[in-house]
Amino acid sequence: MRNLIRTTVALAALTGAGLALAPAAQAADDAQVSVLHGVPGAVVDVYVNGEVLLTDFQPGTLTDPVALPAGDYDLTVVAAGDGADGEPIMEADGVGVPAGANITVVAHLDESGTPVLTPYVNDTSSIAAGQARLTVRHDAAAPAVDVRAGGDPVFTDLANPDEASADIPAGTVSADVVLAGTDQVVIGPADLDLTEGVHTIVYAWGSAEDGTLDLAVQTIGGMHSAPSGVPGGTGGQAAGDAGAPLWVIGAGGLVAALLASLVLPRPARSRVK
Amino acid sequence: MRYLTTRTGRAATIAVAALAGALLSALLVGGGQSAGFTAGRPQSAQLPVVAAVAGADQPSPSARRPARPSPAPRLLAIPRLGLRMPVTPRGVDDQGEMALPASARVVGWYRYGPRPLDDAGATVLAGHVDTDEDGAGPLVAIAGLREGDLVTVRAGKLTARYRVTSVTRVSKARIDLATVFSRAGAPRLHLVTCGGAYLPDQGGYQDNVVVAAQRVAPRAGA
Repeated sequence: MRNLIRTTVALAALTGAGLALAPAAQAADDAQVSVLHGVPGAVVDVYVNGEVLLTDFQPGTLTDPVALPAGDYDLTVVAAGDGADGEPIMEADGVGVPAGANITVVAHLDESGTPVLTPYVNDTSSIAAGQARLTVRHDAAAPAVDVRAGGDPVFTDLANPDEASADIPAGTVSADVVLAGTDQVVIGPADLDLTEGVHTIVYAWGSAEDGTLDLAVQTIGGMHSAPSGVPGGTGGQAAGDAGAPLWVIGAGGLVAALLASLVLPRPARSRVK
Repeated sequence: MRYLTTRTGRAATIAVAALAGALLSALLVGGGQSAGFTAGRPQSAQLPVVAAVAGADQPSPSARRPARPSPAPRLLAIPRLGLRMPVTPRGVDDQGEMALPASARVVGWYRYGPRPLDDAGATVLAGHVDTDEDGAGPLVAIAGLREGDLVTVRAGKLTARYRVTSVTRVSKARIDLATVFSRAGAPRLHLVTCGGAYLPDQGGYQDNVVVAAQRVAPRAGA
């Protein structure tokens, strides 16, 4: 799956002081890239294009996103302290980072337990008012699973390294992970706080065989939308109430409003009541 | 900005503010995520690890948001109108519109948006101008507010104070909801109800009345 999106992280590498300036200097079409470590027991260093990006990176941790120019990047993960020329635990060459994308690169075990790097593109499209976006990614050395919320399956037959996503009403849900088609719980239950307008991404990582299955959670905010209207009145008694003139509206605005109401057709509302 | 059909100068000022707010929010959404790199960055070009996201018993990274949100609004008062109304949290209805309290004597607060004591964005309070059961409610009077009028919103033990900057009536078909419900920009209050013609076969009231007010003494007591 590493060719999935081919990722990247060129970042910083290069940076020294560059990184500190990155937020100010970043172009609008830079990608946002985060890294999640989901390989149990391995403390690692991560290199990008031969330059160190992360040192002493601990399992179960997630980095802040960093802005990266679009391009292709070579990623190498080695045991902590082994250096750029150390024996790679995982590597991915020519990982392509598309302009403007929000990406999480996950170091994890494949279904058979081999460490791999998988880049995922995170959906940052807007979310309807009152809704939250939930994505689940299977990054564990484990068979296919179902993900349940409140005991009901929401995603079924999810296999490593696939993902499933849905927009659902915001709120707290009790989620657990079961072997596909069974009631055998392998992870959880865990309470997930699904915040309105926020994309919550849950990673199942670790190894079933070694008893190290766990969850990691990433959140990406800022995709909220406004409600589609404010209904505002159901009686009609206030209509034409001369006691409430809009004195504050400037004459120009009032004229404009009157003109607008005369000139512009008033579309019948199409929504079903 | 379409709904702000008030005096030109003020409208321009608000337009600039809204633009700044939009830019700010864009920066926060985009660059803000990287802001962690600018301060306290460890030696070398190392990425800070922001959160241990281990088990179910661990806080998720969402816990990085302010641990305790500021208090929800619970009382709206407009001294010049002698108006005092309880405030209750509301989300969206099954049409995707803001859900309002059934009674015209209670104001709904859009609970997904900013709170009165938050550092940014518009706290939205909205209610029915009337209902079949209640007849005309207190909000019918807000159309008569004037620039500079005081509006207060009690939240927890504190009271946010606002001064009215504009009162606008705008067609529901053309209201700029993204601006009304904006979560960016200066802390402010948007008080919304209905007005205009009442056409039962066209969804009832044709307009919204929007009172915009800027926060002037964010955390003054009483």
